[in-house]
Amino acid sequence: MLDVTEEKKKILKKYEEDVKFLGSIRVGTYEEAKKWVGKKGETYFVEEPVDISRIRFYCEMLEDDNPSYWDESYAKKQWGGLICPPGLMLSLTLPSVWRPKEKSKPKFLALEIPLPAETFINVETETEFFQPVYVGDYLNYQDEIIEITEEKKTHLGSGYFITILRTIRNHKGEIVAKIKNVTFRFRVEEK
Amino acid sequence: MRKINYRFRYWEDVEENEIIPEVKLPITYRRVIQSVAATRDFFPAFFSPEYAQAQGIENIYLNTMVFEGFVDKVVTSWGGPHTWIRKRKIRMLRPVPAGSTLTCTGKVVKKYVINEEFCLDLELILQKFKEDPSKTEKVCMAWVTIILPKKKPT
Repeated sequence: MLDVTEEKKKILKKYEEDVKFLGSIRVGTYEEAKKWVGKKGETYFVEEPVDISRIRFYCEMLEDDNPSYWDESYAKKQWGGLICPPGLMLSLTLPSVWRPKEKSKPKFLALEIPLPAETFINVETETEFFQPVYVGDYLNYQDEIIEITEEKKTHLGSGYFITILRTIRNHKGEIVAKIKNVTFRFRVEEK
Repeated sequence: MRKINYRFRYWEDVEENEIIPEVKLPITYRRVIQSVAATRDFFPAFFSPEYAQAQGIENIYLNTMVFEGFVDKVVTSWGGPHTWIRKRKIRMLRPVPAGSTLTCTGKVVKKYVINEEFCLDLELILQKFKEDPSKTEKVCMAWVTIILPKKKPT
């Protein structure tokens, strides 16, 4: 009989290259992982400015007609210009899949932490917004590992909850948002 | 161009325990793929059914930023385009795969003033169903703090 878990692991492995834009999932022990708590990542500068097309594609997907994202004259009166929907904030800091000239790539720390867990899913996100992000803004961000729990069992399998705080600033150096994100790094198992 | 009549709610208009009416969002294959394109999150579980299935999930599913955007849309359509989202926390309990319909409803849990800002705390529940809308499953909880303007400046 075919081992279902091994089969699943093989499939996850097949997509290793596709996951790499986020980082490499590092396997290790929980003892090694614990040493990563408190560690800060580098500050990464998003190459492209906040762009109206991205804002519109996102609103198009959600069918969100808020004029803060569509109507320049309304947005100017209300916010001082067209703004970025708050839900797009995390997206704006995601690494690109390909660039002609590869610079140092942002690392998704939740994957870099060595743990006995070969895949992950996002479970909780708390975002505080301090001021609007405008079309044309350039953003930068830095991550800090806040917490790694002991092994826990969920409906998906056994794994570890990792909390990372991302502080996002605009080109003026002002903090625009803080995202506290919880990722579940887990092992695929028989149900 | 179609004229949209936005509803503008002011802080004085809102009562604690007020209900935020249900909004639906069908999660078709198209929308899941749109969400990948729009958020640029190319994690394979969002575009490859076999990867999602290897994770133990029946099909490609929605990423975090769709939940966030949907909650924000529900909240700002209810409060009006002048709503400022100060803080939003979401807890995802179950994945939402292609082929389901997502719903969101909520209520006002607290109305208060802090640092001269007119705040409301909202609690929202997101559910999913397949063919039968009476068979829903809770998939996500959201807690949102918004600031609304006052009618008359104090």
